[in-house]
Amino acid sequence: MNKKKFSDAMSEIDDKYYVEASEYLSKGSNINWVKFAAAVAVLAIVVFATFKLFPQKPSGDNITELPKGSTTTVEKPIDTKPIDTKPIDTKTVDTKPAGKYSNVLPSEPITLPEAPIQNPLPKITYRDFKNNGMGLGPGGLMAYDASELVNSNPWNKDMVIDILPVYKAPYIKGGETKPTKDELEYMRILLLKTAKSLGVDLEKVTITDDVPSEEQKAAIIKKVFDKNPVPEDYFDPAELRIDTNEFLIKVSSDFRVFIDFKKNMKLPDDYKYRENAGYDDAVKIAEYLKSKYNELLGFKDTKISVESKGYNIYLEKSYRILIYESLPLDVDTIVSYNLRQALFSLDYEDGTLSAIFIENINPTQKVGDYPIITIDRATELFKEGKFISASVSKVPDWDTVKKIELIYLKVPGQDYILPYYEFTVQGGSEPVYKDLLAFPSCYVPAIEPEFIEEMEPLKGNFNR
Amino acid sequence: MEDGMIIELFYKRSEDAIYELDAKYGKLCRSIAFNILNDIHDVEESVNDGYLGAWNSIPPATPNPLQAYICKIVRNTSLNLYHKKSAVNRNSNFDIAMDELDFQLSSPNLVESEVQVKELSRMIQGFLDNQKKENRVVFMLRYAFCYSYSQIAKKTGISEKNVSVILTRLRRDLKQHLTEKGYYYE
Repeated sequence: MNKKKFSDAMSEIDDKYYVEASEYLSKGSNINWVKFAAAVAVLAIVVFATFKLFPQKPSGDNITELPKGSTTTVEKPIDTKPIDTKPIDTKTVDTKPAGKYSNVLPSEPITLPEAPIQNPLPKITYRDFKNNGMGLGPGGLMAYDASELVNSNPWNKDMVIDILPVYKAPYIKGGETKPTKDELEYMRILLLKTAKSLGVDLEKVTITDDVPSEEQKAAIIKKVFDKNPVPEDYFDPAELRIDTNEFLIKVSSDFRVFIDFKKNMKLPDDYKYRENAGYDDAVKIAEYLKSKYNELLGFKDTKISVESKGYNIYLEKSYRILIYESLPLDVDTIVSYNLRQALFSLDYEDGTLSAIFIENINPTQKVGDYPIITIDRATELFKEGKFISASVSKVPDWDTVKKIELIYLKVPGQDYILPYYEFTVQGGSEPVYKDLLAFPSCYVPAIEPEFIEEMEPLKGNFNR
Repeated sequence: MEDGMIIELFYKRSEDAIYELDAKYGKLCRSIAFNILNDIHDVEESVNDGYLGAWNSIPPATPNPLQAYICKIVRNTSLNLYHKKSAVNRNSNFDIAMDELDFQLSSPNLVESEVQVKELSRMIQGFLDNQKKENRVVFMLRYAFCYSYSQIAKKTGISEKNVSVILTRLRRDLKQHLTEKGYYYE
């Protein structure tokens, strides 16, 4: 009891002591951990994590064929052509190849092969992520009032959405999915185009990857595989990088682009972004970032979304700034808003821009276009308790529902990225912190139930 | 990736947050978990539990610093897993470190265990605040991160012998500090 009490007390002490000590842990030699973790830290950790957090790899083996006779009743023919297969428009840059990868942009754009059409549509799985009362879960926020939970989701309940695409969840660096030769080439071009848009001189850069050194490989093989065979593609690259004095630019196998500003970019004096910056301040900054980086993103009709992040425990309110492309079809715009956003990371301390994170879609990971249920049907399912949530276990009273949206949810451990109706509810009438109320979210899969199957919940628990 | 960006990804409901968290702090988390659990498979389980805990708690939590937040979570998940398995196996740095604290802790005026823990935590903080940085770091590495003496020596550049001396003095002084606060008895 005494040891446990002391240990519990050590868990409770202020973060500053942990920070002070952990700073030492990131310095110097790497103690015992090296003895076994050299093998694990580079790649295998994520493989293990994948097995744990993502119990089922979304391979074709896991796709369950619908029984014969249970074909869809979709009246409208489904166009399975990927909507996001954008050729990368390139022109030749006269540079010399450097390092392992060429830094020459090809003269012809490349397109990735479309995902093969599957008929009938394979069944989609999803998992609950209950967490025994810890936190509100994704989408859950604290606010004084539901009206503060703003965003610019282009979906509205009057839209007629018959179908939406579903994608296999990506497995990023070190995971199980390695890019094909074509995908790696696509990544390379995307990386070079991004660097060029940022003003980087391509003649002076070298593209690197995340393949471990020969020494690290040997350690991994020894510790992880022992005498077992190493998968053929295990040490293939899953991420390409360009590192300059100004930026670290990375493109991963799901085509997401991360731009890290080595020295944060100052916004013009007129643009103030601090904790407690108002909504109008955030919109103004979003408009500025949109104009500055539109060429980088290549959007034709760019929209901004300034989204509430609620309040933190210091009662400071903040917003998230992102931009996306509006497209002629509502379906495409919904996908663009959810899965092809550019997110800007602003430093609250000094109001500077520190990073840009651009999501993309790999069209080869598209499973198909699935029929979507109406909001009325989703409401029925919600009232029947057929939703997943991190913190809501019982069906909430209907009058606690404050907002309904159609969104894509990229949840750790899910095999697919699919659309959900998000029901934001008020979690009780009593404040949970100071005067702040809790607004957790419940998610009803938006796919017709006949195409979807709930799997065992994720196993991970916190403080079980 | 900087912490603010990782938090943004958590807020954006993106599983990329987990990967970035792992890329940045995975090594540290596994190091802490291993010191407690001493088993690579248990380490993965507890670290993954920690990540899921972070994923489900952000938002609304906006931890700053994120490093300390995830360290604490993984420490807790590791201890929870350890306690589940401790009846079978007692050989981790956690046991050895805690066994050094052979004094009894008590607070007769406080009944609720949770309150006791908070009170004890406050007293330990008061004790640490009066220590020089080197001592605080050695204390934390030993009793929060469960590092061995030799590991602490390598990390801090202090000789193993001196680590031992520092910890002996710290335990003696902590005992005295808790006694003065009425939180210790033989």
